[in-house]
Amino acid sequence: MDISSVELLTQTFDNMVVQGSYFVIIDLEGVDFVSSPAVGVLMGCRRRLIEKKGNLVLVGLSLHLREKLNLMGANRIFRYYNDVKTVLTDYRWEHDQMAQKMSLQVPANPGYVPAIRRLLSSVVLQKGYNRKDAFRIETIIDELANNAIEHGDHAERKFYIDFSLDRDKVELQVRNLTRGLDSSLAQQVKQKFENPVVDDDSIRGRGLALVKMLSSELRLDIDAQGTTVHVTKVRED
Amino acid sequence: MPEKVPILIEFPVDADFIPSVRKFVSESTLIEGFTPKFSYRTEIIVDELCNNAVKYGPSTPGSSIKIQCDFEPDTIQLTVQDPGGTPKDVQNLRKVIGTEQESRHFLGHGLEIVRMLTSGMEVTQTPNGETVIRVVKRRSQNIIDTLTE
Amino acid sequence: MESKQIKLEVKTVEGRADTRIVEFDGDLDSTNVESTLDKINSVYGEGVVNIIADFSKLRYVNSTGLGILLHISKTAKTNKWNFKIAKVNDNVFEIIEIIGAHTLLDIYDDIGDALNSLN
Repeated sequence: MDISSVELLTQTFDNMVVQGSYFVIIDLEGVDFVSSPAVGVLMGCRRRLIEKKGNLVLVGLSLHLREKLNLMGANRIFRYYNDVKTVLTDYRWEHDQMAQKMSLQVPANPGYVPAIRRLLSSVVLQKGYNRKDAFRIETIIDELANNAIEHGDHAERKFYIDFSLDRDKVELQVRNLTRGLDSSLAQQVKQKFENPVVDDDSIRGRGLALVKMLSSELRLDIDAQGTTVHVTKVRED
Repeated sequence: MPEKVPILIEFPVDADFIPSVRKFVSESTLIEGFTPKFSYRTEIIVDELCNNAVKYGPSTPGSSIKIQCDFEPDTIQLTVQDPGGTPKDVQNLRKVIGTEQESRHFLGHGLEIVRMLTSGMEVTQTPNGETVIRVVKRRSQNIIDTLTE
Repeated sequence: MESKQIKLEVKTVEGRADTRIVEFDGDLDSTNVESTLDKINSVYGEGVVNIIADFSKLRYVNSTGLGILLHISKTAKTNKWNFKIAKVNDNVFEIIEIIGAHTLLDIYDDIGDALNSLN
């Protein structure tokens, strides 16, 4: 990208702005060289887009191009991504509140609970949630996972976690198989669960009360598939 | 003895999830009685396989990568399935897996490490165009021969 | 998202203005190789010609991480700089060995050895 392409670049860019495209991805795959004036033009383009609440990012840089651009101070201005796919994921996360989902099937073994806690907590941290929220989510999943293991049908020896997170909240579903609950007993369990009583006899009651306090929403469903606990936790930072 | 319950994980085609997922699988091997060394090597294997799946997998939003870890007394079987892609994606992945060049090309694909850390690697394609990589890793019986652990 | 997996701390060396110790703390993997490269390059950019990478707190490295270490090493050689690695733990060393990079990287048992080799 040298002087001759700068004009083309500026023209292309002007057209995009006219059309209302304020988020621009510059794909530098296969590019070995970007001249200083070209970088200057890109910086100017980005400034204009930022004014329109947009942005300009660079993708596909080889290590060598990256190093050369950094010498020009480009890394202080531009965000680099490995590929277009990653940019879109980031964009949708921020602007479309896109949710990302994970599903787990895990042995119904209490030994797994710390690992599950760490899995979910590290994911939310990686996605930008703060430590306090991550810790609360750990507390919630710890309680629900232990519950699911304790009360699940022991013949099944496994339980399931569905985890969805977006920019603003986390939704957890912990499911196990609980066969043989007739509907009145199911109602009782549901009642007790959604209205946990904290008393000296109830270790679990305290835990569930805690989960209820930490969540924005707590719900229990019992059907032929089993028991599913739904929790929504809104991001608090 | 009843069959052990496998671990199944499904996660988005997004590198952000990989550190957490690889640590979870690694921790699971510890829980199931394998050694710390085994679990560390498992972490490497999962990391390399998932990175490939993310890099060369397609980009349709909402698609996911599936990992399964089956435990037996002395082995684990890891299966990683990407969400399937265009014929070009599959072709690229084939190139990555197929050539022996990888061993010289460190900045690459890490599958050479996976081959050395496992007893076998098998690559198949589902009818939907999803690539499935299956590896088997044995617990070492012989203390001296730690490279097969 | 920016990786939370690694921390790099730069320390000065008494009596050697051209040398820095960079402590790697955490995991060096595909999520943070580029930012690590940027950091190392910025250290070299300050008139520093020798970097000793302290790997005592480096828990984990994958093939991409190794790739970046090799790249840094090659660049250093080209510029007649030094990039030395010290205190590699057993797990990390094994991976380096498996991939055959132990002959290509300048590895020492401890920081003292690495510093001495500079003279």
